[in-house]
Amino acid sequence: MLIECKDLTHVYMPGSPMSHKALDEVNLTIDKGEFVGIIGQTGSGKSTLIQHFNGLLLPTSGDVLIQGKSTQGDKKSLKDIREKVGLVFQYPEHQLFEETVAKDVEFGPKNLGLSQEEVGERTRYALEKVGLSYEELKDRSPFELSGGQMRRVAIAGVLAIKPEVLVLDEPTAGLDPRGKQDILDKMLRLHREQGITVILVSHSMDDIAKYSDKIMVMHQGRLKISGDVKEVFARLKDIEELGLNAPKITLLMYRLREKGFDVPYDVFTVEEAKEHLLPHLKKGKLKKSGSDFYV
Amino acid sequence: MGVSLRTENLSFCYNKGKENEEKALDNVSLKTSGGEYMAVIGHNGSGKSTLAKHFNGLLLPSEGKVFVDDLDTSVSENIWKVRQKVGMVFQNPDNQIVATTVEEDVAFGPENLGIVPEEIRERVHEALNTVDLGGISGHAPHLLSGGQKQRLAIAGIIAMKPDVLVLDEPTSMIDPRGKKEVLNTLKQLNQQENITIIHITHSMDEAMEAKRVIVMNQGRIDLDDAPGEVFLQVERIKELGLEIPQIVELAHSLKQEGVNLPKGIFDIESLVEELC
Repeated sequence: MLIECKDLTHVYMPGSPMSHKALDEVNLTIDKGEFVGIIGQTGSGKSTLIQHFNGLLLPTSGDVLIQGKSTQGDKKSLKDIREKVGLVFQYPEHQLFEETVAKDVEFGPKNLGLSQEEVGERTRYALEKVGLSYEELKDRSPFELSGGQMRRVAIAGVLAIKPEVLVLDEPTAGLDPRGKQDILDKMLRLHREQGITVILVSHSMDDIAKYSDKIMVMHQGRLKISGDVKEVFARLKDIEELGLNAPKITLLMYRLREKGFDVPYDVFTVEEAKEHLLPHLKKGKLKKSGSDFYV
Repeated sequence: MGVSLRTENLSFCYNKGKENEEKALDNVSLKTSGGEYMAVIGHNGSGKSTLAKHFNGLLLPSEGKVFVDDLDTSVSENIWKVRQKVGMVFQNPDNQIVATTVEEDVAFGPENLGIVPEEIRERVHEALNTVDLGGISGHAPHLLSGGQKQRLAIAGIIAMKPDVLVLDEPTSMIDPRGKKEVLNTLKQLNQQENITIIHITHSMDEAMEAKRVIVMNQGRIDLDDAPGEVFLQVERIKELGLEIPQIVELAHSLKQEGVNLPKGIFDIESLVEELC
């Protein structure tokens, strides 16, 4: 078990009149090699939760274990945890600060006390993983780059630490569809090829459905629903009650099922939908389940 | 009638005359009619936001002209009138909230216009009701949800009674319910108050809500039509790095496989009807 939260509660400004319970007895486990999507309304506790995964926030009560080690241990073990779990914040490009792209990406590995050679290698590796050319960009100022490129440089800065877990908080907000897909495809590749565990926080149900294996739904500081993608979107009514929704394609399949047609609902992409619908389609109409005639 | 916006051969360069000069808008001519609901889409760097900032004189043309009704934005005496007519709402509501209560935040704009207190009170009340935040006028803005904050930012602008509302990705930071709230607010402002809406978005589903969609590419207008027509250009839209709304794309690819479907299927209900 890679990440484990036990009765995790977090209260902001405890004891003050502004005291606010952001997490309320959350229990969850994330295994090595999973791609987990975390969804929930704004203010449901998603960002507070993920900041516990590398000890940026510590529990008010309960515990968070990374490979069995508590984030509330000594300094040394907290340092280990931060090398294992890399966190990419919302709008991470706001945290770029160095004069050149290379220096910015090097910052993390340098702080790990690695040799110059290793630092250089990791910088190349990380930039390549996010689809940027080291040679072309290393001496450029990160602030001259496009928004999408800046976002990638910031993600590369976290990848250069070679974390085992990559936590991404709304990594594609403000990017256009191509830029969005490109970054998420790169993350999926890292996940598949290097076995990196990815935790993706997003408001886009399309992306969550397309990329994750497992989904966790947060609501008012609690973990409300958790399961694999199919299970979670099977509970459409519950999800809608929590202010969320399913991809449009999934909603279409639901409607067709309601009308009595024998199609699966756990369909999240246009390609899949097409594959499921085509065999049923005769003269443009769907075959009713359990009947021999075409409507 | 509402206020119309007009650009005439508008070009704009960032860092003009310098080494890193960059042409962001290239000879754009565009006219909106009063009370129009227009979405602007395009990939990052296509010129959408640069165009939007010209509508209230935040940016001035390098070449060409921008008119708000008959007011030329490049004439400096016009700029305050232009900004009263055209309100802007940006992506991140946290950067646009200035006061410690919801009510005060909305009052900030009209106060700066020098409006008498009674009328300010009325306008604040009205604006908050329009965006459905009337019940929480005394709350602290930073404790609101993302959707509420974004609607608060909109209320702050509509309290200044603009004729045109320009919104630059107003829903990119908020959850699905919040998005819906903001979209409903826009529709209502458009239909009931006859406010012209210019909505810049990366969400094709949101663009479908508009009456007219402009697709920007490399600083130029690539497509300009009703959403139904624009999204029928499936190949072109993809070439431009954009996506087709899922339902439209599914209908399109089923048709390509020889399934007999009519033109113009844009929502779940009409596709269900055709398939059943």
